Amino acid sequence: MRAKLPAVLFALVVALSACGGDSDGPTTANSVPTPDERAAGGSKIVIGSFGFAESEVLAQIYGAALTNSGANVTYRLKLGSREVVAPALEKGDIDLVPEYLGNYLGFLDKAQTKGLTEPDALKALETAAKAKGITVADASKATDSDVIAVTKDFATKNGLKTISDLGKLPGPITLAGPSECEIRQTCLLGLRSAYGLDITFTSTGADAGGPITKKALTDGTAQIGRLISSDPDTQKAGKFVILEDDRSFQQPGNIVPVLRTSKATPAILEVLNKVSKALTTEKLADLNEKMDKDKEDPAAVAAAFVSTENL
Amino acid sequence: MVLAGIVGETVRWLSAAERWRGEQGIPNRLTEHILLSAVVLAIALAVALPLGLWLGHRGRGANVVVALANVTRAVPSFGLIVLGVVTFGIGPGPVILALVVLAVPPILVNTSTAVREVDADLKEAARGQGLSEVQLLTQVEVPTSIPLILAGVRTASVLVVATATLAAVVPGVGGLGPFIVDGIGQQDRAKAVGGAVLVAGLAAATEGALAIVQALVTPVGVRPVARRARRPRPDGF
Repeated sequence: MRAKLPAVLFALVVALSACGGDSDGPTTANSVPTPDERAAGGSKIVIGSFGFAESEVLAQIYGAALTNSGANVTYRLKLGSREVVAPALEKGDIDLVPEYLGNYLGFLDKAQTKGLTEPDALKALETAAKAKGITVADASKATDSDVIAVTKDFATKNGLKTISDLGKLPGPITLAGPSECEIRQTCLLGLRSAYGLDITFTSTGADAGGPITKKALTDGTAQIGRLISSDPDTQKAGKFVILEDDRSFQQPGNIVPVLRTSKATPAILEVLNKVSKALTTEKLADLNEKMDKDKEDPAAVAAAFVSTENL
Repeated sequence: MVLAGIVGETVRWLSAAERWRGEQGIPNRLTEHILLSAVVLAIALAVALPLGLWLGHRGRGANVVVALANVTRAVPSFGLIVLGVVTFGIGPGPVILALVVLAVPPILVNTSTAVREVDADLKEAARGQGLSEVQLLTQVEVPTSIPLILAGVRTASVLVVATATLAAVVPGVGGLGPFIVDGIGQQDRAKAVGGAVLVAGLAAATEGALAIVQALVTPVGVRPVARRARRPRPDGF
């Protein structure tokens, strides 16, 4: 046992340093909430984001809008997956993060295994978050969810439109998805339990709907893959077809700002709710395209959005 | 206390019976990992050894090649794997390629430097005794360079064994990497740490085994002088 201890320590250091990610500013957590509740003036707020561009631009939008209302904003962006971001929020390393309704609910409440309607999911999320000292602001209509997709050719050849249609295929099918897919109800487990499909899983590691997942689909390593709905290849390019979730085993993917309750002053909530109101799925797709295709900087895209929407 | 918790759950993870059978079991994953590493090292040796010997013996040009080899050390293996997958498709190929790129420089640099740095007087003496260039290489330069050459092979082997975990990003290649990557993605700490312990153990075992090989194949004349030999012989010789 003694001999293994250094190895454990080493592995831990490696794992921790791999999870570190960028930090774009100093932490100013644990400051006392401002007594001035009429305006956001004087509030200090640290905004975090997940590791992908969409989350970064949303964080920057919240930040720009809050700065406009007088808050003192710092950023800790590109932190990584929810497994890193959610604990950081609970500990107070960050105060605010753009979340996704269903996936965050599934993370906080592992017993939540059935697909819920948007209002029910929101209610369940508020309860689950409250226990962690986290306040849920208004959800936006804009959604970005995990989807089950196949190549266009495969869909045409086999007449696939819905996930149920996969049951018509002879023999087991292979699903390509990131590590967490294997243990999520909204992914592999749900496909088995809600649809009764005979599925084997092949892990793409940390590649969540990225190039490796897509390659696995196009070269036939897997027949179905977990992609994300805002991906240009599932939308405009049409290389992949999203299968309709006809038994709604997945949760609604509305974008929702969540923040530490100690920071949730009425003024701050008002700003966040205005941002949620301004966002739509189409506008979100535009923001993503500006970053993916036109290679624009998330901060610039966010600033432009905040000024056109008058936030 | 946290550490004790991690150690406990990792030991439980490692000792669970289902961990030791089937495709997802440790024996199969360990075999995949060793096979992948062995293939990579065989290719790297086939490329780097002859090239390193030739360059070292020739003396000139070695600096340029060593500098070039060192540049490839800056190539990020993960990026190379993703690029390989997107270009050539899913399979072990991109992983092997990325790992060979990683393994060649230490072998090449050590081999060429070791051979080039062989004592000039020794080479002069060998030539003076009428040894041909091939004989010089095989009978003088290689035997005296063996400790350094093998040190390069050891470095490369440990690098490859540790980095082969990156294969986790390519579906179906396997090895010990998926334990770590999936463990982190699934918040399964015991799985991630257990996988890391296995990789660290395998890397340490590789290092140890090659150290033994090195001791065995190093010619007596090149070995560090043992203390015994310096002691006056009791029989007066």
